[in-house]
Amino acid sequence: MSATYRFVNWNRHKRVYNAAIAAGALLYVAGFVVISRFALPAAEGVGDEVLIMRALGSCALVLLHVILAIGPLVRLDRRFAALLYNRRHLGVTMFLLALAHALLALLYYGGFGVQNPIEAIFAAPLGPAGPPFEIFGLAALAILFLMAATSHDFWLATLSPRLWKWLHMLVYLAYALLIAHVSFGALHSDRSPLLAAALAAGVLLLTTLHIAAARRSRPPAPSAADQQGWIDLGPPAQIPGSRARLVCLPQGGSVAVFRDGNTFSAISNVCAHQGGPLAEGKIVSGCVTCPWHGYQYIAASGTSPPPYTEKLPTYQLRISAGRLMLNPRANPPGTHVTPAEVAP
Amino acid sequence: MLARQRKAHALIWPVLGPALLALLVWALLTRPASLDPAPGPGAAPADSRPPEAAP
Repeated sequence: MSATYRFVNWNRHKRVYNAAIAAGALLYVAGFVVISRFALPAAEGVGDEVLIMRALGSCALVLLHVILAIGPLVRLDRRFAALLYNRRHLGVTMFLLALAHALLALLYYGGFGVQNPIEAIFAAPLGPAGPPFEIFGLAALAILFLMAATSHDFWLATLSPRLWKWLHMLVYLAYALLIAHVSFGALHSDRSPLLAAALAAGVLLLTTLHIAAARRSRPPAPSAADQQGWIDLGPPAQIPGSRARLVCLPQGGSVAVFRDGNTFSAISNVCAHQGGPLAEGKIVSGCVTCPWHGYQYIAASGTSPPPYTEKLPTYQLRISAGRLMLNPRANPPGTHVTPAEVAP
Repeated sequence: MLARQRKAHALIWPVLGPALLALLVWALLTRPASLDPAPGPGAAPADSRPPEAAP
C-alpha cells in the first residue's frame, strides 16, 4: 500500500516466498539435468550445456503455466487467493529463467564466440520443418522483459491500473509465442511423445480453467431501483458474516456491500490498487481486504487505515421493513457513512 | 474495468486454447522424418546451421 515510496516492501512472507521460488527452480533444474543424464537413454550424447538449456526453458514454461493458472483458480476457489499476493515475483523469476535459457542458447549456438549469436538466430532458414522457432522465443522474451520491467507498483501508478492491466494481458501473446517456440523447436528435435503430451495437457488445463472461471464469475444482472431511487437488496441476513454481496448498479459500476457483525456498509467494488474485486474479499481485522494483494479499507469511510492514503467512493444503506436498501448514488471517495445496523 | 477484463479473458481462451492445440498438431505433422538423415540429394538436414556454429 502507498504511504511512502519503497523499492520493495520486504517482509518475512515475501522473503520466505522468494526463497521457496528460488529453491524450487534450482531443484527443478538440477533434477532435470540429473534425471536426463542418468535415467533417459534419449539424452545420451547430448551435452551438459544443452541439458541445462532445456532445464531452464522447461522450468520457465512450467512456471508460466502456474502463473496463468492462479487467476482462474482463485475465481473458482477462494482458498487459492494466497497465491495471488506475490504473483509478480513468480513472473519476474519466470522471466529470469527464460533469459538464462536464451543467453545460454545464444552462446551455445554462436559457438561461444565463433559466430555472432544474433546472426546465429536469424540465419536459421524457413525450411520444410516449419517456421524458425528462435524468432518466436525472442519475441516472447521481449514481451516478458516488458512485463518484468513494469511489474513494480511505480509503473502501476504511472501507467494507471487500467493501462497496466491491459499491458500485462500481453502475457497471453507471450504464452502463444512460447508454445510455438517449443512446438517448432524442442518438439521437432525430440522423438519422445512425453513432451508433446505435456504441452497439450498444459494448454488444455489452462483453457479449461479459464473457461470454467469465466462461467463461474459472471456478474449478476443490474439491480433495479424503486421509485425513491433505492435498490432493494433483500433481507440483510443473506449476506454472510465478514463477507460481501456484489451489487451491479443500473447506471453501470458495482458496489460491495459488506457485513461486519450486525452492521452493513457499502463501498465501491473496485480496489484503488489494481482494480481488484473487493466484493470477493472479506473483512480482516475490521478492514475490508482486497483478495488480490491485501489492500485494506475501513468499510464505513472507504479510506485505507493510516498511514495509507487510498480512498474509495461510499454508498448510503438503510434498513426498511426488514430489508437492506442501497442508495446507488456514490458519495465522494472517503466520505464517512454511518453503517446500517440490525438488531442482534 | 474489471468486468471488461474478465469479459476479455472469457473471449480469449475459447479461441486461444484450440488455436494453440491446432498449432501443436501442425508442428507434430511437420516434424522432420528423421533427426539424422543420410546425406544425399534432396535430403533436408535436421540442423541447418553452419557447421562452424557448433561448439
